[in-house]
Amino acid sequence: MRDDRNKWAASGTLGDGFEIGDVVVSRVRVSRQLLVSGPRVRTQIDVPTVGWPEICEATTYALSLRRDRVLVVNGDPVEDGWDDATSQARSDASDLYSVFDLSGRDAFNVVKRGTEISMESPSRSVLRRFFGLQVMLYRVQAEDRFRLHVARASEDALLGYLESAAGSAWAARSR
Amino acid sequence: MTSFRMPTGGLIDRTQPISFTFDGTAYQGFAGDTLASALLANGVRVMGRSFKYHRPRSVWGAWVDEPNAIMTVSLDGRDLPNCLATTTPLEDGMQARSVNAWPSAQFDIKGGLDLFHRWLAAGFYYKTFIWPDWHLFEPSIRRMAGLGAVSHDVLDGYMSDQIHDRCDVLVVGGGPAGLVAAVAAAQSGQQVVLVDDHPTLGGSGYQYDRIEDMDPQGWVAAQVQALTAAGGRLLRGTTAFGVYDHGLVGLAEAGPFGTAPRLWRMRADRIILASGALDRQITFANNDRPGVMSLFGAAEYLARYGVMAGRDIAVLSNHSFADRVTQRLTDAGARIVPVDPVTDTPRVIGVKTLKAIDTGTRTHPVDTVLVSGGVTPLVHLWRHAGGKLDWCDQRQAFVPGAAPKGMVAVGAANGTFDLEPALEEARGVGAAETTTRPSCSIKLTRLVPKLGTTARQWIDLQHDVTLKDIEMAARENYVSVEHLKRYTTLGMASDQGKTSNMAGLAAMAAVQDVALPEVGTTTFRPPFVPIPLETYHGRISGELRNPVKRLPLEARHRAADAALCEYGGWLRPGWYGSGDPKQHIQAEAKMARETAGILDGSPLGKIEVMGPDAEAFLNFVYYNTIRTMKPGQIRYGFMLTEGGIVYDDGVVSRVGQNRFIVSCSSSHVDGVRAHLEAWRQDGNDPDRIFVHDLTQHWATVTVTGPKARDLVGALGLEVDLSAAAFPHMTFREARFHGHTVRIARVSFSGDLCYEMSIRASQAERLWDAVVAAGQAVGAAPIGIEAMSILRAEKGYIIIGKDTDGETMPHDLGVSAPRDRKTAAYIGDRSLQSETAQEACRKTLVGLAVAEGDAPLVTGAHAITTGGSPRSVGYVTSSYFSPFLGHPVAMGLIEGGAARIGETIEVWHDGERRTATLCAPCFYDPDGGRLHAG
Amino acid sequence: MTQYSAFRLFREGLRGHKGWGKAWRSPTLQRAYDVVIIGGGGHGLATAYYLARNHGIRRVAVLEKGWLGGGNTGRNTTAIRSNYFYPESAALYDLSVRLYEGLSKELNYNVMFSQRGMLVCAHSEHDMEMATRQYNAMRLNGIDAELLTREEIRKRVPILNVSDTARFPVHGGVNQPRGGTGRHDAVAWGYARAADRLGVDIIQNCEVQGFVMEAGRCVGVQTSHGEVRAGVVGAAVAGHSSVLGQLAGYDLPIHSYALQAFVSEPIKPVLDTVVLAPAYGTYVSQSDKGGLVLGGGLDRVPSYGQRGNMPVQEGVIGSLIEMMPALAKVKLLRHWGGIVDVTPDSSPILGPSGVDGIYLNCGWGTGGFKAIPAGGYLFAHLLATGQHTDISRPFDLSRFKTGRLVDESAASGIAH
Repeated sequence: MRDDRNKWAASGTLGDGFEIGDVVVSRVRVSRQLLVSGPRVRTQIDVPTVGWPEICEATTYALSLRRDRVLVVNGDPVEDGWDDATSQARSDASDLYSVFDLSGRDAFNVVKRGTEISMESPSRSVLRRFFGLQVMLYRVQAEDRFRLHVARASEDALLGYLESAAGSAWAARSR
Repeated sequence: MTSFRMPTGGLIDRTQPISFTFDGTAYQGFAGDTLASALLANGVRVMGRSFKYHRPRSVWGAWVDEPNAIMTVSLDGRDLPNCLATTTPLEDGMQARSVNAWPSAQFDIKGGLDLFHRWLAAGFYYKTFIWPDWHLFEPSIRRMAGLGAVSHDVLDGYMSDQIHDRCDVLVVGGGPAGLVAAVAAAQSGQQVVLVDDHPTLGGSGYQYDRIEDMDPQGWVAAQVQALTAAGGRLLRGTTAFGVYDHGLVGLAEAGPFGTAPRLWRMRADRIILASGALDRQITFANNDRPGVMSLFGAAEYLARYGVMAGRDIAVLSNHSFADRVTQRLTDAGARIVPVDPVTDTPRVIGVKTLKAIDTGTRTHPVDTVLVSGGVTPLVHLWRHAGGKLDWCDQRQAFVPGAAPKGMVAVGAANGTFDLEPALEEARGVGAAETTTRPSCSIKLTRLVPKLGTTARQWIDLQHDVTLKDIEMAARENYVSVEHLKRYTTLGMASDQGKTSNMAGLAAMAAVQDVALPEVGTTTFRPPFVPIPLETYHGRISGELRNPVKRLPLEARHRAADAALCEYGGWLRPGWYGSGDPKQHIQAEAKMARETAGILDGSPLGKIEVMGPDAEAFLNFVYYNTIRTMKPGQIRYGFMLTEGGIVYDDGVVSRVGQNRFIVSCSSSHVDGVRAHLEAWRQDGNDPDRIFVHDLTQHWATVTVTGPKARDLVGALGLEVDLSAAAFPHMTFREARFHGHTVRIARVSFSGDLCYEMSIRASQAERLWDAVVAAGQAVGAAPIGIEAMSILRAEKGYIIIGKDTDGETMPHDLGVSAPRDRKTAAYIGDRSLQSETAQEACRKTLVGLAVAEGDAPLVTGAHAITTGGSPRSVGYVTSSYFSPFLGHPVAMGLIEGGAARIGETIEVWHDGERRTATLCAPCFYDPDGGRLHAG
Repeated sequence: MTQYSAFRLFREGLRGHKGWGKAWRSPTLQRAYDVVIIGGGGHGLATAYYLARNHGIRRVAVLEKGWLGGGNTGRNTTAIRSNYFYPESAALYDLSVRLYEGLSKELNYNVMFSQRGMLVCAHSEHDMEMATRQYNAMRLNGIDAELLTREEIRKRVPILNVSDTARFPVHGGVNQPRGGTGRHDAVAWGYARAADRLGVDIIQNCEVQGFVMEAGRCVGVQTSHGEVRAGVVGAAVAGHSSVLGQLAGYDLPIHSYALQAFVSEPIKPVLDTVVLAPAYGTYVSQSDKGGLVLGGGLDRVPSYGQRGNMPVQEGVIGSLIEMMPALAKVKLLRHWGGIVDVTPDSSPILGPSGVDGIYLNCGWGTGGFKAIPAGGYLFAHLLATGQHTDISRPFDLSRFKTGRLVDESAASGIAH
């Protein structure tokens, strides 16, 4: 096998985020992420559901993923497994997704470098293909603040893409 | 100021002179010039050589329709091959060189090829080079072909930015029609983006004295002002090069010289095509000579760059629109001789310098011949999107017909060649009114090429396709448009037929004596102009291209001097230590058998399947019976394809009545998840089965070896690890510093083994504790390579290595379900096919070699003995086992399982060896160490 | 029909090329033929040629709904090779390579078959093990093969980035020296001219719209030029096989996808072999005109559109730049698409359709061009005798019932 230890920058090199041009990327520590699937899950949850392009202002909310699936963020602890009473499958996914916020004047220009997206094209699901990675993408707290959840093992790749796109956006502004 | 540059006029800045060279000679131009306009201003005529005959070529047009002036351009140490001089903005210090000519375009040593033109006609290479062998001739032909040379150097920083965007209305073309359409659309509240490929908007507007009672520059500025005030966006220097499905338009935005374009993937609800029109070439004798140019090209040179194409000019035209241009040239001081291409038989006289034109009755001394045989709407994007074309007899041109969804054409692109009607039409379309094509004032006499002349008449200037070639092609029955084009190569040069398409159709029509539209139309394909490959590549390069997945414990592995390698999409420790890998790998494998090894197994799939139908579902998905599993149990199983082929192997754990964890192989997680999600919805009630891929939520630390129990016992997990309480193929849950640890007693190594899974944020803590406990028992981390040896010693397979596209479960010795499972499962019927029942199927066996022999080569084939050997299988895994002290190997061999004990021949790269078939398990066949009490 | 030769070319050059006869006639469609072949692409035309040449059957019509050679034959990336894995495939594709080797002389038409090698790279140790397995298989099947090291590849393909800095470094590879490229249009035209000379009627702009059945047997076809009776019908319509099957009433285990191909502007020679880099998903060669010809994987949505979309374009071309970074500044000239029929085992279908009187030559997926001579040769035998030869038998449609698939998904090129 080929020793590639020097070919790949060490994981975590970009740390908890960076600032390039008019873009700020920062890691977000959420207390809990719970994956909940079920035929009636959307009617059963009692926190705000978030799709695109609405701006989420709550601290506890449910990301709309599929007709039958949500990701509850910062909710109460719940036992993993199948709950017959509600017909829900629940799994703690707190360590599954790394979460980052993307803000600044060029934040949306960075987003547009990774996926086809517009405020005029609403989507009930926040799942997107972003630079080829599956992410959850939605707005939080402000019009130009975007939050991304990505599977942990792809965190370095995501930060790498964001860094490259932020550089491009900055260069485009300066040209 | 040279004699061809006007003292005033044009969009250039005469206060900013620019120095450049062409083929080694120094010249001066101005800011706002292109390479071509500056060369023309300096009286340079010969700017290149044609592809086949190396005939001298001057520039034909002023923009993208240019077939001849192709140059390699260098600036500040950056070389770009095959730049079109008409679209390359001039910059100070530029060095341009003609391509495919040596030592210069003016004096090319291959110019003599033209003498042999009689034998180099279209398609000549199909009729010869057959004997003795094509390979003898091909190298010379390859060396002669190609335009510019490309250095092997990588241009530093040549990277494309790429972005997605959308708008309500995309207007392609910033000429007069495009500008007013964009303004009207923006003012009606639409989100508008206007793209134009020139650095300065206005299209052909500068050829007019006044537009709506303003000077053109002022008028253009006013439109831009109105557009931006209404919220519209402008992209200059941007080419819309292709239209794709569902209103997606590819835009290439040019940057400074030596930089790659920016790619915009623009999704538009509506596309207004205002791409203008091209001049139509006229076919006549020696029409390829330097000095023969497009009339509208000359108009552009004058309007934009203040350059006169010539002084004594013959104008060949068959239509009324030529008059306006002729007048402007006269006003600028040119002496014009009108020549009628319909009644006269024009012939150009002059080789590198144009001397005169012979009309058939008279000879006129001229230095330039300007040609316009009509106006051809630029309909490429229309056709990309599937729009149809109609033939217009009055215009003698194809105009947009039935529209593709979401697209409309305006202005010259729509055949509306008159300015005022074009503006009115465009405003209406911009405001989303339905409009019909206005009538056109053009008066045009149909022009038919005159066949059978002695002098050659050019159709494709770059590829040297002449009228005689078309006549020959017709004679040989290559008459359909595509045959004509492919046989003669007309329209296949780098200008993609912008000047030759119509000329070619007209020629074929003349030859066949039919109306032009009956000949057909060629297909237009993206990109509209040649686009640098980098535009499609973007900054997604190197590490960012198919990036590997990273382990939660990567920092620990790096600190332990791990060699990180790519396995199944993850970056994982192959072994620990620097230098020669072999000794590290062997030492790790040995240690794991003697004390214990610690492996990061985090990529192992952990897909939870939950719901009241989970059990039935998995029983269907798996080959093996899942139904009978009890909570706490782990079972090894195969997933098959519908064809009965083993797709994945792995273990399933039953957590509860309605909850299972599928531990598929690390490289298959995405595939297995997709497989489960697909089948969940097919023939099942998806409301009763849910699939949660939690692979990356959990890190997994594996401890394998005789000391594994001691090691795990030292972690303080409060679990009874005794064999009776915790047998093989079961799992327990425990707590580690308050966090759940799932401990599975499952083994890929064949030794006593525990796989401990904990949430990824606690991985380092657990790892540190395990490594510390390992020190006490002489255990240390091991990598994938060592584990590969361990599992091979035990005869455990790796899917895709020890199985191939034909391997069925019974080939691997697992036949009970095939024989006895009554419940349906994916692939069941395929396991009963004729082929599935054959005795000579390739089955998994072990391969033993003689004492002291080297390991077999992986990929060597087992062969039949005798004269012409045939393959009967191959070696799939082969290693030297440090613990056993001899090589171990596995393979798929025909009828292998029934031939245990036989000696076979193994063939690799012409060399033969012998091996003995044995059971695949070399280590602990009774399983004593596995079940270790 | 005039014979082609250097001497003839010289003479005609002096006479203004007036003596060249038609490459093929434009005959009127007759009411009946011994054999009707549907599809005037390379396979259909080659079949007609071999029917006349090898079997003496000349009352043959080739019906082509557009212009001959206008389907996949005119849209492929021109690679010719026989570096497949199984003996059955080796026999099939190498028959084709051997026929290609003598084709220009046989057809008296220069098809420009250039045996510049076909190199498949290996990007990891695992890839090298698979390459070794492949290499040995080829050699045991009697196919020419070379197992190359990284250094050897670097020498042959200097523009390829084999270093460790490449995303997928090259460990080595397998080369087939006799593989290479050919001029695709010339293959169609060469077979058309030779078949026409032997009396075959090639009818262009003639669409088959239905089948004429009598007592459960196909006895002819309905066309846009009227009804034609046939002793036997052979369908060689590539991407439209399922459509035709629906008309005739037979089912095919086929999915049709768009396959895109690309050519760059012509540049001076930088590459003189065909290189496939599986990890990147792209393969490339340089034509005699100087353009780089590249291809990659399918547009994964089933379609008859003969066009693909940007994501695949970016994938294939982007991969080329990763493989050969110096080419970033070269420009794309043109791209296009064809329709490829993918079978479950990525191997073709040759043999009876299940409807009496109709035979099939289809399912070639992305690999039809290289197989034109063999496809024609074997299909002619089927149509003439009703029997398989040993080489075509393994590719009969019945293999999907018996399970005796010939799984060439790896060797067929980029993942399907």
